Formats: sequence, C-alpha cells, structure tokens
Amino acid sequence: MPPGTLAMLVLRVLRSGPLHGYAIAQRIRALSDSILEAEEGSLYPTLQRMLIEGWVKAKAGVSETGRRVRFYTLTREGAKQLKREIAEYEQTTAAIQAILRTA
Amino acid sequence: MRKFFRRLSAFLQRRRLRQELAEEMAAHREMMPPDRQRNFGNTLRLQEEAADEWGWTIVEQFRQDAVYGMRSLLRSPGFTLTALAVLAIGIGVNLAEIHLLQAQRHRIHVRDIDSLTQLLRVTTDGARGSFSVPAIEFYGRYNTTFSSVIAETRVQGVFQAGDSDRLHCGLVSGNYFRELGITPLYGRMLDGEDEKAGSPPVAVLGHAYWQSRFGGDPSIVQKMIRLNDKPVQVVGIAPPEFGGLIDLPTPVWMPISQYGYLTRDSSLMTDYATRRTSMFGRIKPGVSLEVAEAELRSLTGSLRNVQPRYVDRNEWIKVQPADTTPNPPPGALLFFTICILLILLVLFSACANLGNMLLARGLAPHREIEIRLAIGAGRWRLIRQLMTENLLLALLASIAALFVGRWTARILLLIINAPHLQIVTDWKIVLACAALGLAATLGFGLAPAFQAVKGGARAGRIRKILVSVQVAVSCVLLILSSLFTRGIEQSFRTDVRFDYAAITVVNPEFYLHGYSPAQARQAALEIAASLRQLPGIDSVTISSFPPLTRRLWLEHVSGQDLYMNAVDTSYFPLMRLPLLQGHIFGPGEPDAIVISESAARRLWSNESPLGKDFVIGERKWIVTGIVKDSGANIINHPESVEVYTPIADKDAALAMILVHAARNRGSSVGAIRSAATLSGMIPQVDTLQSFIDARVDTIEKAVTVVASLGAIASLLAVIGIFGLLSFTVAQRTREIGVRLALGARTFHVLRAMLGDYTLSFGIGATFGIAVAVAAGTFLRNMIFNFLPLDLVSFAAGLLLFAALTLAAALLPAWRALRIDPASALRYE
Repeated sequence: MPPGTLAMLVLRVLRSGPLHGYAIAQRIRALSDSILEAEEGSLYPTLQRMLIEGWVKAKAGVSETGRRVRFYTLTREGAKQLKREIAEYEQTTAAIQAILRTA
Repeated sequence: MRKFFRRLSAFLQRRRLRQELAEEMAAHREMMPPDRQRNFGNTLRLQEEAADEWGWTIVEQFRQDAVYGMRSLLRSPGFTLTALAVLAIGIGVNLAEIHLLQAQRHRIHVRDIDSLTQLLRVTTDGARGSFSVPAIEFYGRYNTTFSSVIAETRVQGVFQAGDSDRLHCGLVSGNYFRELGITPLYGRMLDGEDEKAGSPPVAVLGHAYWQSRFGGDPSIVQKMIRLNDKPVQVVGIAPPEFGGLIDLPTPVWMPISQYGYLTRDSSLMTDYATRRTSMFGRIKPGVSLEVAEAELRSLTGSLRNVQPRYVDRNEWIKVQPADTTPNPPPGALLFFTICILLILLVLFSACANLGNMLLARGLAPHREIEIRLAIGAGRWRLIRQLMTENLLLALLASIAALFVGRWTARILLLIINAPHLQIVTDWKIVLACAALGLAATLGFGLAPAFQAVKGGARAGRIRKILVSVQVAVSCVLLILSSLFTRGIEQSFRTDVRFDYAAITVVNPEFYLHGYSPAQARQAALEIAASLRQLPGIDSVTISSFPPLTRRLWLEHVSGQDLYMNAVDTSYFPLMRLPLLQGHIFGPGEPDAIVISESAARRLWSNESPLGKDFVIGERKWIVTGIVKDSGANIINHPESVEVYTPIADKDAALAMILVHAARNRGSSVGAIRSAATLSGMIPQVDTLQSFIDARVDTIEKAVTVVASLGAIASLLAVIGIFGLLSFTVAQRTREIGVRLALGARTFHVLRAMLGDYTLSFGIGATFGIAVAVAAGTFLRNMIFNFLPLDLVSFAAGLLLFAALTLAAALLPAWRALRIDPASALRYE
C-alpha cells in the first residue's frame, strides 16, 4: 500500500457508515480483492491520529462476537478531508501516469 | 486550537482510552481467522505505538521519570540532603546578590513612583544637575507638563548635645511630603505653612536617625532640639520605609526657607547664582519625558531673556525617572563586577561539587543501567531519565535557594548597614532562580549522566578535574579575602608617618559662609588660638587640605601628579615630617616650596632639587627644602609625591585647622567644636580616624562579602572532599582490608587512599594561586591601590584551606584505618 493512503482508504470505507477496527480492515481487504492489507500495526495508530485530527469520532459498541469495541464514524471534517485527499491522490496518479506513458 | 483540546482531552482520559484501545485490539485479534492471529504481533507494543499518536508520550515519560527520580532521591536521603544544601547555597548566594541589586534600584518608596521624575540642569560643560531656588520657582509656576514641582537641598547640620556626627539635613519645599504621599509615623510631616517666611523653625526626623539618636522615643515630637546651635521644634517622625530622595537615609528634614536660619547664608532662596537645589516633578499622565523636556527647553529660553547672566546659552533640562540609580563610580562598578564573578564562582564550585557526588553515586545504579541498555533502552531515553532526576533535584534546591537568598540578602544588609533598603522577592527573582537552577542542572548533571550511560574509566578523570576546580575556587576566594583583611592593617601601619590617631581636623568652611580671604585668615588664626587654650592639645596648625581624604589639590607637572598642600610652617612638626635637606620656608619667602623625598626623586632623579626653579600652574616657585614622605595621600596614591607651599591669604577661605592631642585621643570632638565655634558658625570637626574608618568601611564591607563567599566556597569544598573520600573508602573497603591483613602500614593505606587526589589538589591550588594573583593585582591597580600585595596573605589563605581539607579528610581516613580485615573480606 502506498504510504499515506491508509487514512484515505479508512475515510472512504467509513463513508458508508460506522465500522469498528476489524471491520475496517476486512472491508479494505475485501474491496481490494485481498491485494491491499490494512496491517493492524498501522491501522490503530492511524485511527488514533484521525481521532486527534477530528476526522472520525469513536463510539463504544459491541462487536458481532460480543466484544466491547469502538465504532468509528466519519465527521464532517473527515468528509472534507476525504475529498481533499481523493483530489490530491487523483492529481498525483494522473501526473505519474502521464510520465509513465510519455517517457 | 480544537485539535489541541482534543489532544488535551485524550491526555486527561488517557487511562480510559488505553483501556478501550486494548479491548478493541483484543477483539480484532479474536475476529481474525486463526491462521493469521499469530501475525498480530506484540499487543503491548502496538498499543504503545497507537497511543504515541496522542502526542503525550514525552509528557508521560517525563512523569514516569519524575516519579522514578523522586523515589530514587528518597532512597538515599543523605545524598539528597547534601546535594540540596550544596545547590541551594550555590544558587542562594547568587539570588542574594540579585536581591541587593533590586533593593538598590528600588530604594525610593513614595506614592506613584512612576510619575516622579528628577530634573537635571545640563550645560555645555557637562551635567550639573542642581538649580537655584528662584529658577525652580520659575519652572514650577510656568510649566504645563508637570502637576507639581518639588525642591530639596542639603545642608550640613549638627546637633548640639555633644554629638560628633555631621548630618546631611534635607531642606525641602512645603509640598514635598504631600506630593510624595508620605504619612507620618508620629506627629505630622512638613506642609506649605512651614515654608512661608516667618514660620517657626520645625523639623521632621528620619526613622533610622530617630531610632539611633533618640532610641525611637515618640515623646521627642513637639520637643525642641538644637540644630547648629539653633532651637528647632520636632513636629514628626517619617515612616521607616521612606529614606528620602537624595541622600539615603536622610536624618532630618526642614523647610527650605530655613536655610538661612541654619547656615547664616541667606542667598539660597533668592540668588540665581546659588545652584544647590535638586528639582523633582510629578509628570502629568500621558505626557512623555520628551514633551516635558521640550517645554522646559522653551521655558529655559524665556528665563534667559529675564536673567541672561544666570542661564547659559546651551543650557537645557534633562528629565529622568526619579528612581534611576545614580551611576556608581567606575571603581565601585568594577568591584561589583568582580564580586559577581566571585559569586558565580561559588555556584560553579557548587556545581563541581554536586557533579562529583553524582559521579560517585552514578557508579552504584550502574548495573541497573547496564541491564536496561542490554534489553534495548535508548541511550537518549536513559540520559533523559537521569537528567529528569537532576532537574527534580535542581527544582527542590531552587525552592530552598529562594529562602537562602532572602536570608543571605538580609544578613548582607545588616553587614553593610543599609536598613532603608528593602528585600522584595518578585517574579524577576523567581525567574532568575529558575534560570540559575536550570543552568546548574546542565552544569552539574550532564557530564555524570553521559558518563553513567556510556560507562567506562573516564569517570575517575572527570572526578579529579572536578576536585581541582573546587580546590582552585576555594583558594581564590580564601586568598583574596585574606589579602584584603591584612592589606588594610598593613598599609596604614607601614606607610603613614604621622600619628593619625591623635589628629582632629576642624573645617570651618569659610567659603560656604561668604568670608573674604582676609576675614577668613583672621578667623582661622582666632580659631587656632582658642584651640591652643584647650587642655590636652599639643599643637595646632593651619593647612588648606586635610590628610587622608579624597579632597585634594592635584597638579600635573612634567608627567607627574603632584599632591599639593598650602600649609603653615607648624604643619611639618605636627605631621612628624623631619627636614632632610635645605630649610622650611620662612615668613619672607612667599615663593618658596618644600617637597617630599619621593617628589625630589621623581622630579630630579640625578641632581639636588634645592634652589631649583619650578613652574606650577604658570607660577614660579623655588625649592628650598626636602622633607620625609608623609603618606597623607595614601588613599589616592601609594607614593607620597608631595609639594607644600606656604599658606597665603588667598588660600585662607579653604583653610582648616589640624589639632594634635596625644593624650586626649579623639574624645574631645565636642570640646574642640565649641572652642572653634565663631558667632554661631559651627565648623565641621572630624578625627582623622573617622576619615580612615569611612574609607576603610567600604573596604571592610568588601572584605566581609569576599570573606563570607570564601567561607561558603570552602564549606562546599569541605563537604565535597569529605564525601569523595568517604566514598573512596567505602568503595575500597575490601582492598584496604586485604592490605591491612597483609600487614600494610598506616602510611601506605593512607597513600593508597589519598594518593589519587594529590595531583588534583596540586593542580587546583596552582590554578587558584595564579587566578588569585591576577585578581589581586588587578584589584590593587584599579581600586584599592594602597593595599600591598603581600605573600603572607597568600600563605595564610593557602594554609587555611589546607587545614580545612585536612579536617575533611580526617574522618574518612580514620574509618579506613579502623577497617577490620576479617569483616572487610566478607564485605559485599
């Protein structure tokens, strides 16, 4: 996974509704046909940072297995950030592709 | 900003958040397919990493370190207390010095000091400062930038009841106390009524003088006292915090209109040429100093139109805040700088001391640190932890130092006898304390912390260097203080020829009382004649300058400073100056001069000066005689390059009378004064001893300060050396035990124990002596030039220090020799 994109993916995944940590990892894995793997070691630090930045909010809940977990919800700030990151990402990929195609 | 609050709330709820994080990670792990669960990694470590994102890791670690440090300080209370004492003293003396500086700056205690300004008259030939009373009235009436103008002048006053002190009385305008917002302790202050012409003479006593002269007796209020032999009624006592504006502390205040009553000189109130009065103004709110200066400039122009003779062409008035510290003389400034350096040296020594103790102690938790390093702790992390502990120590010591500093400053104020200064601990002091504490932490802690983490054999070398530093600092301070103390006695014993203890100076100050030269000469002769009648007086003479003062007549001839004096022929026997060659000038020789041995050597090194022409200040003199050096100017110059001219009529206004009383030493000041009093004009009467005391007083204060610093530094060094040797003995108990068991002699054991430090002592002492020589020479050249640089003081300083260190070494040495070989072998 390219560095710095994890936050964007988490934000994107959360747009459809609150999820807990494991579900986020699962969703990313499933949506990418198991190509992208949200490592636990980077997922949780990223989530903590997003909490501090105010992009997501955490609410206590109970998982499908009956464990107490936190469900992460996208905030308005987070939605804005997602838009920014997608725009930035597309711009960068387009630029990279342009170079790959012509050079 | 919102982000900061989220961070803060994360910190405050960190326990709950951590718990939730742990739970959700556990859940995560559970939900994972079993084959991948093992890949999850170390949960704790992942938690830490996730929690790092909250941004409080450093704070959290600091808290842990602080708790850990506190615990480790509590574990060795002996070390902690010693370290605290050493550091608190080191920082405390520096704070005391800042306290004194502050007190010196805030010496004036009046209402709304910020709006009070002093006005200084400035002319082309430099700042003059003082004004004439009518000029002050003029500025007071016509200005628009000051809400009020206050005047104060000084006059010498004497209480009659046999007092020998001459007092600087403050003569003030009627609005003085009201404008300064001074409320009386007893009675009332002076007011506008007292200033009106024809009002009865009244006075207010300063608190310090009231305490010392009248024993703080409130019943003095309303009583009559006699000032310069004139009755004056005391109407009130000033509060203790107010010492005056000019001379601090002012003993007596009277209305300015009473100047003529006290001095017989009535010119002050009306004469534009008598510029002897200081002017202060309360500047109106919102008016800047520049605006006030501009207005005063134009007023000065108007005054020049009215009184062209008394206002210089380029005259203007400088307005400055009233609590501006007057610039101290360069000598005092220099001395002060040196004192500050010495005080910093004490802190330096304290740091060296503490660093040493930490190094010694650092060897103990060595094992723990090694283990932590082995299991992967970062070096920086460990250094940070050790420094946190040091910081904690410095913090505690700084708090203690605040108190030490306050007390030391109080004690110093008592020593230098300045009760009107107040010690205030404000935020500046606290800030300085924090800064010093921080600097000290770095100073004493950094090297040992690195050492502990890096480990290795260099600890021993650093310790030796630190010992040398302490020895050097203590040597410098002890030698300097011993140099000062001995120097004072020495210089007067060896270089002053005359019997200064028996001589009294009567100064009628004819020039202040408007005497013409002829009148003054007549009056001086009369006074001399009546003094000869007194019992116990051996001889009396007239000269224009007294010995042993800073008042002098200096001429510069062919590259040589000459100390001049116009004297009567009876001056020479009274001053015990035997004639070496030629003869003393007689009555018919107005152009004859007598010079001292040193002057003869300086001016004519190879030939005889007798009969030589000599031009001083466009006047030609002929040298007729050579006398011995007197030492009368020793305070100004170590050599007596003296020239005596016969006292002529024109010098008579300056004339003063010297009285020699071998048996009745100094006790008859009152009798001499009353015999020398002419029609209500009270002369100034001082024993030479009092001149010396006044001069020596400042040096003595300096000596006290330096000596107490020396004592503190030595104390620190002794504590340090004691600790170091005790530690060495404890560390080498086993080895000493083996040596003793194998039959080692006392001497060998001691050598093994102390030998390590002999070199450090030697180096330290050498450095100390070198620095002391440099500092001593420097001080002697710059300020106390009459102090001899003698070797005995050096030896005394060194011996004292050697004795102290020996005392510090005694107990550890005794302990080493008492070691029982059998138990020493089982030690550990």
